[in-house]
Amino acid sequence: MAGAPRVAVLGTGANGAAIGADLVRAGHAVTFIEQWPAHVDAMREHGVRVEMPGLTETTPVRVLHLCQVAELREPFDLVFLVVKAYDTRWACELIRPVLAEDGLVVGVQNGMTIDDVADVVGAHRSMGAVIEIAANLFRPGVVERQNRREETWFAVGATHPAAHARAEEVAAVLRAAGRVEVSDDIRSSKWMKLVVNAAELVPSAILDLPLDEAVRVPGMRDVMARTGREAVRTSLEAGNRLVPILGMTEDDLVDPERYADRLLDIVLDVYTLPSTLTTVLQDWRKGRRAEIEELNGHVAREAERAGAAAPCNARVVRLAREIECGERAAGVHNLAELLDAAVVA
Amino acid sequence: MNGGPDDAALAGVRIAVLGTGANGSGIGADLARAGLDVTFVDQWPANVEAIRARGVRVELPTGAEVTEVPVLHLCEAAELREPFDVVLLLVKAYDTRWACELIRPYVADDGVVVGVQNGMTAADIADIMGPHRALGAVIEVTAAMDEPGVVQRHSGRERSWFAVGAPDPASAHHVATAAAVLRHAGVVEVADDIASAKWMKLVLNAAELVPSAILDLSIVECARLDGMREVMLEAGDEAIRAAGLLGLRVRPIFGMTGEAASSPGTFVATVLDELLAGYVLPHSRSTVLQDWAKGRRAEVHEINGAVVEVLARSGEAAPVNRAVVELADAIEAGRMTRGTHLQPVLAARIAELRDAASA
Repeated sequence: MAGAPRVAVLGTGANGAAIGADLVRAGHAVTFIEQWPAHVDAMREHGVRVEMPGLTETTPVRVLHLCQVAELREPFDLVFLVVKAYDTRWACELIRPVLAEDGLVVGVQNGMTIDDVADVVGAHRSMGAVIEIAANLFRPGVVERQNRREETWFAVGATHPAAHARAEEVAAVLRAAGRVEVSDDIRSSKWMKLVVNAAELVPSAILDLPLDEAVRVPGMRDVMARTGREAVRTSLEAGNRLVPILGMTEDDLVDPERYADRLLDIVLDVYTLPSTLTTVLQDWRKGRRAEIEELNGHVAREAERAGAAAPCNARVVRLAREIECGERAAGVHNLAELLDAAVVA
Repeated sequence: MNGGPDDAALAGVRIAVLGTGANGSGIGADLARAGLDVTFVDQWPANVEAIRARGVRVELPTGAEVTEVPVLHLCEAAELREPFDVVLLLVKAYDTRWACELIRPYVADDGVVVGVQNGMTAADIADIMGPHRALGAVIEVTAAMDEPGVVQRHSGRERSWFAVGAPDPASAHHVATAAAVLRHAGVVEVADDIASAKWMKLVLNAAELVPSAILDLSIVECARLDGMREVMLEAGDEAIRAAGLLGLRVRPIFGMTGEAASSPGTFVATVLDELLAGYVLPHSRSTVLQDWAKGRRAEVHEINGAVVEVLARSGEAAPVNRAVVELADAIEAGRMTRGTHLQPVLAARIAELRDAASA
């Protein structure tokens, strides 16, 4: 990679657009590639508008529809993949023909997508990332970013040594959008994020409540904590390590379950505003499917593989599936069934 | 309107056409008019909007037909709740893998994806969907889409030809359904050697598509040009040699019969003449030229590139196809401009590569 990298942000929803705008403002050559046509049109016409606490920025950006990837002639050096976990494989296949031989795809996503990215573009061209940011996108072209750049947190790292050697190079670019650490065990780092995602995202969405409200429903905090603790136990059984994320340090790694509790505290205290809707609830309210199988579903499957039980995660998955196929409505009336699983656990 | 004995079996079958450009829209409209449950899924937002607003307009030699049909943007796939039983995949060969990955969560466990495409895409489809959910198809339909929602279909239903078959016995039980679906859009042959059938189409494609596009001519115009018919036939003959190396059979396509359409020495000329006489109009531009005119990349590596690759694996040269690929790459990279001025350039490069191969 000689000279300034050619950067793509593939998936410019709330997170991708916010990050992409920061990269553009930092002077990088960035192309947005986006699946929602109305959002593409709005950003082309007005730029991307990012509303942060006390600060709104509008940034002109170069945006392509998915169908325009076939018009590209120059390959990308860095692709920040900011699609839902379940979109990972097709998005990687789509971008592969325009990824430079020595390019990198950085999966800035929740969920354990490292292997899917590597499977499609090669481990030597893949990097994993942890992302912690709160942002919403309901109107085309307009992102409500609830964390300023200094609170936004990323970790990057790769499983392939040659790719990992370039982690700092990626971190340097991504620093335009927030704090970035290099993780020498990105798989464990991503699992730690999965632990807190398992606790917060789907459980609160099952109640059809913003995160901050859901956690104040009596009994719910305990459900979430138990779901996270199951996830951290599962992660360790799967051979991952406890590693600090979200700006914590090795000193915070006292005990797995207390660490899971701490992660949940941090997300609720630092990254959650009263109006914060989880990515899952945003998806459901848009009539889209959410990352059920990739979050709690992944925990439940991994626990089963290890011969362990993850009753809270399994219950979360069942209720969420019922909601997605229209057999059940999201709402506080689902609390009893969540509590029920937590008591058994 | 097109009811037949197979149609009862299609009741309740949920069909998607993934990729509703010229061919996908034309075929999909036929299915909708036959009363089948069909949903379009397309990557071109303006096309989706146009079809939503005004239906899909198909201009056939016999007149225009406007058909209303449900259509989704790609991003709306994540809103689907009911799986599809049959997905007709009508994207370019190079879009096969991502399109399959995109649709996979919405294909029934016992559903099937039918690659109604040029190029040898069956292995990619099977890789992603599993061999039990992958069928191959040959398509010969001439159509163009220059305006969103509007198809110029140069070959009517009686001059549209398909072959469908199972690359693996695991998907053989889907063949009858896929054939019954496609029969609403043209003549369908069930092929028990779909790999050979698809390669024979590739032989023809190698001869007609990219060579005519390099000269910026319709297929008919290109074949009439002094010296070009020979280049086209030679490109096809190299692909015939590759068929032998792949262990594939030279077999007729387009429902042709007779010795000439199944003999290695006469296949290319015979089938090219059939194409020129029956399936294209004098002004029909190849799919490759349509892509280039839209600023998009074309299936160069999936067609002529495949011939070069197969022969190279056996240490054999493919000077004509290699020269075609080189010029096409130069055009796509903006280093050359397509046009008849490239005919001598192509001829010279072929001669050079031939000399190198015999040296």
